[in-house]
Amino acid sequence: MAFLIGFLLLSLGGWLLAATTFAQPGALLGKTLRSSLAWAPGMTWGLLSVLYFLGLHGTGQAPGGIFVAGSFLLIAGLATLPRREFAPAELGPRPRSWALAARLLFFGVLGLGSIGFYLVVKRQSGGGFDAMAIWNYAARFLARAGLEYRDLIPELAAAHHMDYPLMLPASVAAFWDLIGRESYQAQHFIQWSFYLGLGLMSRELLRGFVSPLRADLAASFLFLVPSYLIWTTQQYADVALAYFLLAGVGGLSNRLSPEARTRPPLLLTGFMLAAAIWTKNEGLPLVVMMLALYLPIRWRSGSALQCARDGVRLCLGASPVLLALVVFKTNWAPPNDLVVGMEASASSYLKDLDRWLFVRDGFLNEWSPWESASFLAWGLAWPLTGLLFAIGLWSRRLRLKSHELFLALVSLGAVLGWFMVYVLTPNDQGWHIRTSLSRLLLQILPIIFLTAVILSAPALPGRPPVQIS
Amino acid sequence: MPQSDPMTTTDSGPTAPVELAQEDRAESPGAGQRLRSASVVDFILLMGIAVALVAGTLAIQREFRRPPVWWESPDYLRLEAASRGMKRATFLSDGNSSEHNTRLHTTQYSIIPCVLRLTLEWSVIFARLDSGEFIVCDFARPAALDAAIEELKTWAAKEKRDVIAQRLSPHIALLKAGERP
Repeated sequence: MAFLIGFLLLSLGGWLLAATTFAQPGALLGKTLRSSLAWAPGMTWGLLSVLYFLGLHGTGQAPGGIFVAGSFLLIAGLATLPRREFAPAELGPRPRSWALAARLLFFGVLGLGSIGFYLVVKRQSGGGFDAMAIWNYAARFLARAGLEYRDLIPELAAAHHMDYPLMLPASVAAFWDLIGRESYQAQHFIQWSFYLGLGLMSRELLRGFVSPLRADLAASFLFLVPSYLIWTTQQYADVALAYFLLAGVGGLSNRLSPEARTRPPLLLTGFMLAAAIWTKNEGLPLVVMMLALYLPIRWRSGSALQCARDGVRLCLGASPVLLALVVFKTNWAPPNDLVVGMEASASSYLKDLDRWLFVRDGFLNEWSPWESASFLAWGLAWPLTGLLFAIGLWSRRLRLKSHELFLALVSLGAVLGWFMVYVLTPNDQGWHIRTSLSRLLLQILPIIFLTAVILSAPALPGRPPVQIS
Repeated sequence: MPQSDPMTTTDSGPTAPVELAQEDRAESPGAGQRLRSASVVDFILLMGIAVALVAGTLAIQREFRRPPVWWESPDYLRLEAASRGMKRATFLSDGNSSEHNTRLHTTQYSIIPCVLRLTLEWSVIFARLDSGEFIVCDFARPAALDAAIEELKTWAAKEKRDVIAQRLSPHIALLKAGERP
């Protein structure tokens, strides 16, 4: 029953996307389905959590399943109203044999990953420590205490990170409302959809820049990185955050490339970027960095008017999620303990060389293929991503187009940003690196991998590249 | 003739996208070199897929070989058994969020785990501190706290232990069970 309702919700999200965005006249049926499937998890759980939370905040009690489902249907109905004619369904051209084999490989690894997911959650349905201490916990309180939860937050332990936003807890609570009971199946379904969504999204975005064969191979590789399966079942939020960040950065980079074969609308990109912040606090610095890089590059490669128009569209798309986020942060959440601690110690930590070296060693341990723990977590994802990055930069002689420059800077900024988090952390450095570095790297691996694959692809004809040296 | 991409019509981009098939690219100048570099990259990706499959299989096997996680370990199950009379009592607080960094490390693995497991099963919350004190709370329904306290007293009486119950707030009570005589 839970899975049936889950599929129904996902289908609604996919339908909403197809009707408003992807099913245009002349669209290929396959492309429409592909795009809708890739973006559906983010739209479904992002929108559902916002509706649930704002409903709870506005009415003073947990909105029932009828309210959530009704709101969802209402929005979907309103969104489809202007489009009276759906696109005619057409069949796309037949792919070549190698491309067909790569496509089969991709969907095969999706199936394989789903089997692995089932085996792991069957053994440990509640997830790992953070899943229990933070996400499941917050979902229980939302579902049981409703608005009273807000008043209880100061009484709860710091280990529960009550300042973490509510995309996952509110989605789970809304799901429970709909199925009428608290069941781990809700968490499992949501996590599974983000896990598959990450693979579908990476394939979707890559197909905008590289050949379908390359996109299938690269997406298969990324999806098979063991950490994604393990952390999807153990920790919940990081894979969802990785999905939203990938969607956001992919949407922005496609906008910067005149040759890109896919162009997700900025409204949708804005929604995904805001949903990244609504998923986890780490989303905020990454999204701010992306926008700080995107807007000047857009200005430089286009015009100030285009840049301003993009900014408005992004804000419009982000607005429902940002509204929920602002309400949560100003009315519910305590201050972020990590940031509060950093403020007190930042200047002294910055001057401590040992802290820098310690963090460097932590990163190298994660990336090293010779460490058995690293190999089991990543396969060879980091060394091979680095190799692809090097091939790409070498083959382009450091002459990058706007979207490549944007992606490369975002990748570099993400790694440097996470490096600084561990230099400045007020927690014990060893403990902090041991317990979270792999998850933070997991959040940004899709972006870096996507960049490496795009850079290593044959250059498409188009505008003259930007010289960076 | 490539079809226009549906997504381009929803938002006006800087220019119309170009549908460039792989074979078209191969026929352009420098195609041979590009194809060679393409095959190297594809080989790297295939190698990555093969290695990731092996690593993923080993990682899942490791998950299955791993002993029960801490909140399912015998110690915590014993604690759960001890609190069997409080079937609606779980949760735990580390009791001191201001000393997060130092206390969390010492209490996270000794106290919170049992509570986490129980919290998800039961609606009232119960925890035992290292000092032997118990913290009982029911944030959602304070009335249930009284019942939980009574259940703890019943358990303590059965175990021949003294119990001190002190309400710290409408939602939280501090309890202490004396040593077994």
